[in-house]
Amino acid sequence: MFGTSSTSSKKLVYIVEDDAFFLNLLIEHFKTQPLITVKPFGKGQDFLKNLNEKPDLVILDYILDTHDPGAPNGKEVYFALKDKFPETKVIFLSGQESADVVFELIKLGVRDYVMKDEDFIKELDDLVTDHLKLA
Amino acid sequence: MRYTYQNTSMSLKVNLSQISKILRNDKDLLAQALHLLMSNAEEEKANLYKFSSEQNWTLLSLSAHNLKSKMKYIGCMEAASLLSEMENIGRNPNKIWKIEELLHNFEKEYSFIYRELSEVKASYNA
Repeated sequence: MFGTSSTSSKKLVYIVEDDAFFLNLLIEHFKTQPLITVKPFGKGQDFLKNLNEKPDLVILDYILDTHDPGAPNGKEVYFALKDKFPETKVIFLSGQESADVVFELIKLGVRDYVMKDEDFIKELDDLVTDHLKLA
Repeated sequence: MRYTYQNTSMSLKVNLSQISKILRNDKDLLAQALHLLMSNAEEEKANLYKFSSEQNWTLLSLSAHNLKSKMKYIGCMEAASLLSEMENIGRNPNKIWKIEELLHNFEKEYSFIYRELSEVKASYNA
């Protein structure tokens, strides 16, 4: 994993993704964005333990820690985050194609859901730019 | 855009153009990313067999889900489609008899993908 840096003028983006391959790609991608500081987390519980500072945006994997039955999933992490920082914007990320998942997220009030396909980082980038008003 | 290596334009199963772009064509980072991708994929593939033999359809579905996202991201849609079917069957195991055939087809498809990834990775390490 690569290092992060922070200055007060930058927007703080947390990424919660248990897949090391995708997490590292996202870190590398956002490294090139001068107005963003990224804090990456590979586990939902690590993210929740370090939730001392209000993030401007959270990119959250829907299915987390699949091989650890006791670990919080994306929805549980979302509720804990909203409980502490209701204003923080969230973009869900997943490979789930099921319409049931999308409807469930809409019912929770989630506006943004990005499917992990070939172009997902471009789509994610557009949403991040929009949410953080970086354009 | 299809990835080109060793100065030869080939029709490949894998499309690494997105990864190359994100990693700014840095050969060391690309080699690291492919190493991570391949080791994770091998681990999840082993899990598919393990959970199938244990008849643990929930965990088989989750492993298929994890691997599917990676296959989609590198443009391997046929492999992703087989994994998607395994994921759905694992979630709703009324067609469990199809799993063995899907695993066999995925193994065949993945052997080509793995070979291509290995060749590309070797070209980065050269």
